[in-house]
Amino acid sequence: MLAKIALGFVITAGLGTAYLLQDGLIRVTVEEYRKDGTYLHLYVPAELAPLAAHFLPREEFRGNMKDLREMLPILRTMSAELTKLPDTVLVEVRDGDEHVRVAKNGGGLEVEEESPREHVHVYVPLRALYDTAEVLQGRLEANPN
Amino acid sequence: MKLQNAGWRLAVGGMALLVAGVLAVGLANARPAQPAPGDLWLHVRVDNPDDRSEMVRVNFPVALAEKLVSSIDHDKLRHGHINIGDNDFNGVDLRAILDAVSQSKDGEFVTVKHGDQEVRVAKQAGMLIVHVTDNNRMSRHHDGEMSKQEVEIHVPMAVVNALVTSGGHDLDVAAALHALAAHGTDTELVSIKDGRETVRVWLDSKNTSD
Repeated sequence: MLAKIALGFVITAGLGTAYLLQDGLIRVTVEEYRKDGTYLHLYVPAELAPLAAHFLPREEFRGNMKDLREMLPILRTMSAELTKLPDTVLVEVRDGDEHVRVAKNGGGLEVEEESPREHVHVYVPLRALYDTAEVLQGRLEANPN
Repeated sequence: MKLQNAGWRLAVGGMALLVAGVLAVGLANARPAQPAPGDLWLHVRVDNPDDRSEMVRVNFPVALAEKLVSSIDHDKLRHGHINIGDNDFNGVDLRAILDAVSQSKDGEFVTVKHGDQEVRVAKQAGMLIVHVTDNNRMSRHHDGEMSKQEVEIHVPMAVVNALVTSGGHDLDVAAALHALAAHGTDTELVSIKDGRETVRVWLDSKNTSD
């Protein structure tokens, strides 16, 4: 009996984990080198991003409707098309001590900034980016005001 | 006890199956895409041998640039079209010039020498070529060497034609990028030498600029 409960628990947990990890993880790292600076390491299942976009209160983006209407189709196109590309560095700029790199890496978009003041690294799976933009665009079209 | 063992085995087996499933999904997502043969990439490379801390690299597929430009609806760029309106660029009718160039035969159209500056515009073997030399922009290097600024621009005529096809006050940037993507051969588009600093913009089928 105990084994059956354990099996049920393992299957449920496994399916939940598989569902949450199917699109990978959104990874955000912010390290400010100054004293008492921000030190943030965030790992969020990418599947949660479009889910959160469903429930984001409209008030949160009411002031940015115009920008969002312009940005979301670009974001959708970009994420859909980048998926088809091989891993590559898209943009790399070095100016003095500052270094910025934008790359397509393993099914995700990676942005890295390094300077004497801070290190920022963001990785977003492209599938999550596409799905989130699609959800937000759908919400804007369904209720344009 | 036997039944309990079997249950635990089932649980462990199920867990292994799920872990394998998660890994399989992960590996499927991580499988690298391959560039389609013939896809052209636009590369930008800025280098300065005197200042190694200054560097720019851009590698971008032309087909993606075309799709992105087509999806932008902001300011004067509307779905791949730039509205130049009645803007005459200080008395120069850009559209009329591009129209005239696209319909003319090969040859050198413009040669202007003004002080230390020289501008040459020509059409040759299906390419529009602009060459600018500025001897007045001498720059002193760390080693005391002096040199002029030189700009060389090569644009396939198919791209120029595509740019002006829509007529009216529009320049069709998306069509121009489409023509560039269909160009199909490695092409040096822009080359700038300013002292020892160099800027290169070119097309090829590789996804890296090294």
